[in-house]
Amino acid sequence: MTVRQTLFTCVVLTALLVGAVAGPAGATQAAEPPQPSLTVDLAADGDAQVTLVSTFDLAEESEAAAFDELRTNETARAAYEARYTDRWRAVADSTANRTGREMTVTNASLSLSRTNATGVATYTISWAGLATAEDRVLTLDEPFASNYTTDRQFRVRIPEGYTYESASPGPANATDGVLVYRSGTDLDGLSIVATSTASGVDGTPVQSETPTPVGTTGGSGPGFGVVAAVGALTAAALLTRRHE
Amino acid sequence: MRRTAPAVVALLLVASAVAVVPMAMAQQTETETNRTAGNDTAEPGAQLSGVIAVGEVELDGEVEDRAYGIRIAEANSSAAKAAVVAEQVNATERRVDALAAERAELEAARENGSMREAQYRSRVAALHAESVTAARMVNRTNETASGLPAETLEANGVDVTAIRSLSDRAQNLTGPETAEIARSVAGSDAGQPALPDRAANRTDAGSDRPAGETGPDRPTPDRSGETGSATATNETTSPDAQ
Repeated sequence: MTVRQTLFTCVVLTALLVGAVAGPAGATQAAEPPQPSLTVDLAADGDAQVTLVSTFDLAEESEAAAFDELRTNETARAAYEARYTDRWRAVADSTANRTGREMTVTNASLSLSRTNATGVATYTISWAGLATAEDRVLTLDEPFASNYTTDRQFRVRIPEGYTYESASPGPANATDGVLVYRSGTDLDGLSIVATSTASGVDGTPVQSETPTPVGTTGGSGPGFGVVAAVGALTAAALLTRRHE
Repeated sequence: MRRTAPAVVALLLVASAVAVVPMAMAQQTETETNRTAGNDTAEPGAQLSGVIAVGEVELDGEVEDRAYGIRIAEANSSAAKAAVVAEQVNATERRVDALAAERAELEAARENGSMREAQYRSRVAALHAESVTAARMVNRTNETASGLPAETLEANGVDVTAIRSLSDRAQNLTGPETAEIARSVAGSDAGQPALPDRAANRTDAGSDRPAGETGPDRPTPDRSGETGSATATNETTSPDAQ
């Protein structure tokens, strides 16, 4: 191995190791504002907590000041929270009419925060009856199945004691009970099915299975980075051997 | 300020529109005839998309409105205020142009069948809300301009006639059908500030001032008071058109 080849190999290895280790960690840095998302946290009874995260570019100082002004104005914040809740209730009513299931929306909350030049609005609600829960099988479809446009990441968290059985369309990633759909995914006809892992008589949950990731993005672990690092290490070794 | 997510929506929209035909906005409002809603117009997923988009537009507009007020309040002379007005008018004009283009794309996509009726309605609801915000910002600049000397406005490139023309364009972005679609998706208040008293107070204060009246050359708080609540003590009630 020449000095040049050694240097090349070292550079490749360093870059890959940094990517494998720092990549996932960097994605969770506290200083980074969250990305826009819609998250559905399912409970075993079919109820869900729904969280909508919206972000706003606050490039100008006056915009940041205005956002802070709104953030600290409880009257205005409460007014928007009430308006949003009225609209989400209307969506729940439409969904109930379509599915024939009883649904209610409660415990709404709108919070505003700012990270540097990004304003973040987080709206959460409790949506009773969002998914069907029958015979230890949870099924989530409406309202997302009928032309919901995913203009942000869409995440569905399966409850503890349940395992992800099937999803159509399939998510980009399904890890640790969280199904992740990329922004822009066509969710028309969405159906996500999860089954209880509880064992028969006493209902004690058995160990939850962790589905194999089916996508290439959105993973919270080091999976892709490590796989890529191993593959690249092999390639670098082969390349080095060829040059010897 | 711009929301980050709707940019994605715009890209999706452009990608889905097979043929894009520019249309004059006046013509668009005339073509808003008695189109019947398709069977999928009541789809809750599309409704949810519209509700989310309209809500973000409203928060975006609320911040833009307040940011404009802050800039006016910090402008310490008539000339400085006129410069803020000119900047805002230009920004709103670009916004109206973009909305007009988006509206044309929506109509084309609807006509050529590349967009489902339910998706069209959710996007139109958001566009209506954006149009309402744009019209409100035009009114805001008009209120400010009405309190500044004509020569100061002219020196800073503010054309009052052009502002009124822009107001007409912003209002023409929506028509009866658009408003009805927005109402069916997100309610009759789609695009309006969540605290209507705030806008009403500001408009009243501005309309009391004769056009061309010279305002004082000192910072003037622009954030109209949030009425009806004792918690809004950090808000002031002075209009910006001074």
